Amino acid sequence: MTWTTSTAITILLVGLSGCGPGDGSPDGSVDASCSLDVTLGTGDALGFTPLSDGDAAEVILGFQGFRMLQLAVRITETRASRADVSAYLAIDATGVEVDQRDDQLRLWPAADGSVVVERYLLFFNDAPASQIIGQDGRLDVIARAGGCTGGSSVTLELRDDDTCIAFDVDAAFPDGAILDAGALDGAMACESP
Amino acid sequence: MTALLAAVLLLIGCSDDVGALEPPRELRPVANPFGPEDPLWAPQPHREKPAAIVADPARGRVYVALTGTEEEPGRQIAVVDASSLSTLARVDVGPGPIAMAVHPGGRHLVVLNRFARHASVVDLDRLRVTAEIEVPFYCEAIAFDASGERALVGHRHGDRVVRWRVRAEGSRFEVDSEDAPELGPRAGLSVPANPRRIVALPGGGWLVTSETEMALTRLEADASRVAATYRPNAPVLDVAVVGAFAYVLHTGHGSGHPPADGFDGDGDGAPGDGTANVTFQDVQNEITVLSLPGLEPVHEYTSDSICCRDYRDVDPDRPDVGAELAPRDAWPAERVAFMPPRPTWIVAGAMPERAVPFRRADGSDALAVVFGGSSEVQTFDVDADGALAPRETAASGLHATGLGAVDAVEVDGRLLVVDRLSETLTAIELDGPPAAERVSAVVGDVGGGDFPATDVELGEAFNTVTAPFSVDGDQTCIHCHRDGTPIAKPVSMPLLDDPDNGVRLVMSYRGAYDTRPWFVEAAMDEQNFFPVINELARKENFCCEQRDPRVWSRYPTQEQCLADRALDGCRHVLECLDDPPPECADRGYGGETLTRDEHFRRAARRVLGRDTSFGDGLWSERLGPDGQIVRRPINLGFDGITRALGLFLLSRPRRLPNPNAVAPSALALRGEAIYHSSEAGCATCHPLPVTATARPTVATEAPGPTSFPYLVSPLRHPLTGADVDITNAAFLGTFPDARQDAGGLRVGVPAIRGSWDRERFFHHGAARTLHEALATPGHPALRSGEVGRNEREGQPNTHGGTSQLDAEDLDALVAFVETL
Repeated sequence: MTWTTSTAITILLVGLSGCGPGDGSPDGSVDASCSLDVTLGTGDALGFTPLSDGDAAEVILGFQGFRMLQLAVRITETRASRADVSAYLAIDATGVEVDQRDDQLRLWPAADGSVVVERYLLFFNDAPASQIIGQDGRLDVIARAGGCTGGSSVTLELRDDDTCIAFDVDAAFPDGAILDAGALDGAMACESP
Repeated sequence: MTALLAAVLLLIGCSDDVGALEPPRELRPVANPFGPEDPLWAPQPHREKPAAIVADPARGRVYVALTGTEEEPGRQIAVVDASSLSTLARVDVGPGPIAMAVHPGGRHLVVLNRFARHASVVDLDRLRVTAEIEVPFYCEAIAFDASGERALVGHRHGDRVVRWRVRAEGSRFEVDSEDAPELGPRAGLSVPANPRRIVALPGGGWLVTSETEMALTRLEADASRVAATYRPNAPVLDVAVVGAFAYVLHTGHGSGHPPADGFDGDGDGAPGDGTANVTFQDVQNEITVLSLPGLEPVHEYTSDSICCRDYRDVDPDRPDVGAELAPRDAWPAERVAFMPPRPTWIVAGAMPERAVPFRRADGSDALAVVFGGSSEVQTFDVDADGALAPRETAASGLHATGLGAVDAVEVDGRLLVVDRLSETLTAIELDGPPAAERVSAVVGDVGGGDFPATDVELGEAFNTVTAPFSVDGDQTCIHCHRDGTPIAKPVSMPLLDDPDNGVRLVMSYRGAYDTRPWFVEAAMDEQNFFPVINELARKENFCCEQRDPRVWSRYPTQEQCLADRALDGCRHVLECLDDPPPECADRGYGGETLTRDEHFRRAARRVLGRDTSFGDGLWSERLGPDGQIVRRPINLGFDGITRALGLFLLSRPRRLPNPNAVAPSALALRGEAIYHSSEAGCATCHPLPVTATARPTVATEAPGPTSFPYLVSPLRHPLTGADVDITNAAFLGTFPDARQDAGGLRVGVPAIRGSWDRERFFHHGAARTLHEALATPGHPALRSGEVGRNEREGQPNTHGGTSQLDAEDLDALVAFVETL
């Protein structure tokens, strides 16, 4: 689901500056006079594939045991070269919440005039695999570029279909050239090499 | 610029003398580029940051230096009643009071002002400054001898000690400096970098500590020469003398390499670093006892948790368990031989900052150690042979202090501890058990709320009091990043492709706001620099993270259980939080909680008093039901704490005003022209003022980020010649901004501003001085023992064109870089 309108968007920015933990009650408003069309997907500027509700997203095991999604974010209606991206993922079934903020991500131009944040990594640093894998998560992404703002939301099925760990860094990457490597994971070990 | 240069040269007559232009009395703080324009900015409460304390037993007082910060230096000392801890008065001194000493005559207190060229002499009867003594900038260490006729003052401007002859009679306090203060940084005897503590030896002579250059130096009584040096391969944090022994606080000899192969981390000429653990598990909290006067080690004590908290710790009782780990973490049984004897595992706190000798009620010698990283004090009994026996242990509990405990003094059987972050003094009864309630009093400023009161302060707290967040309770950020200036120690890092042989020099994080991306890999910033913090609390240590191979290799995989929940053991796999496998309780190592998130949040509640951010700088954003952007504070789990630390680093650049810049010598001015010349090319990659090709910010412009193939020779494997500077493939996959190809790692351009205060340069620390960093091999400007490192694989001038410079011109270039 992508929310945009063809006219200027008024975004109510609900903040808690200076307050303790709260329920997100309104604290003010910001008038964003321009909007961005934001789409979550996979791939890169040469080949971007949008994600739709219910699509599977592969959880990758990376360096030092970090788990992450590798996504891409396509933005239209901007000439900016960099974007700030905030992400929030919630897994209702297990209560997992992931939020992440990345500033000044490079935007790569695509042939259709859009720009893409390539290799956008969303890390699950605070949640065990059992609370992530096999679960559905709703992912919100908010992008800011060139003074404009836009967002997108999609529900993903988090999977780890490729459970193979690359013991030898010279071995062929298991799937789609995405490196799924790191220390041996007892819950996710592949066959011995 | 050329006209200005010419005018200045005319003005000073082309003299090369330092201080040809008279330097100002005080240094002005460096402007902080992080301001309201940045969306992460929020107003911060004013803090005094008390940092030093001395006792005045005759008057029943203590004096506390209200040092402030680099951006907002304090200018006062607090006069405090030692019994009630109430502040009686404040005395105005100079900017950044950082060290003090009461003259043995009892009438005068000398206060060293970090950012001034004068020390303040306070008449303790009148409680006001009655004299000022000219000194170099950045004097940070002082001690009187027992007679009060001599004093030694250390300055980090020139890494030297200045000798005073003192005459104190009645209200008069006069100093004849044996080392001409007008020489500025060249005044005094050269000692290891950034001298921080000085102790006068009872029999004559002096001990001088260096954190940056990791050395303890003994000087002769007249301080005219170095008599002995002890180098523990770790920052020397403090030294205390009890009888015939010196007690040295440091952070462990290891460099994170294997003990008997790989990089010679301890510099003894043999492979390895001599310590059993590797990477961040090699960071310890140690006390070495040296005999005087020769500084020979006679006893060594280490962390009580050197084993077996982290899943990777070498375990002398189970030498075979190392083989059960993943290949990258595994250790061979032989490593147990490098573990120190178990009776020496007695240091129970983290980040030993201060050692204070005292006498117990029965008259026996004892030593109190203040731990800033765990907010604790531990006392030790000292026997006739200098050996230590702990009075308190982790099991019995240590004495609690406030946050940021950094200095202490003993008064009438109580230890008064300065809590730099909490803005308090804590009083500890030294002969009693740890108190149930901490006795403390405010000495600084908590008008803006008790610390921490903002998201920046959450990060600041974590930066110092990191230990409770680590699995073994041993490590803090400030073990290596001391006071913002890094120790001059190349260490192994997990991102290396060959961590046994590769190194990375500890990074400086002063000025972090406008020098992103950070680290030589140019791939991390405040949002994703979690690899280091990750090493302090790896997920393998928390059973339901399901990453411990010793446990989870016995059970089906997640995928198998999702396909068939009836498989044996699947309830543990899928419902671990409710039904952990029995092996979790029997492991004997790891965290107490089942998940890392709970570990961090529990530590946050204990240390910070909360487990969510305030929301003034750290928040999450999501889309509300009507398309609104809704913000909420973030949880202080691993990610939240990492972001808090990143916010602190952005908000507090902690840049030291450069004393060389305020009155540049003619040599430096000449060097500026060379810096900007196309022949040298320095400004191309190190453009002023940031001196790095960094990412632009809302407040600064910058051309980067940019990374380059090696400009200097990489470190190579001693046997195979392989490049050991490269990172591993997994790191590249996780940090896509890092670049590496067949030619090696592409290295980001680090900021060189602040080099005047640092030792060792380049990503591998191969250049020990700026001369070595800039000079081509054999350059005439190289001093005895120096090696020119401006070359790559024998090709000179790869790090700037300098071979064409004569010795004086290269000296000029160095002089200019030292003004940045």
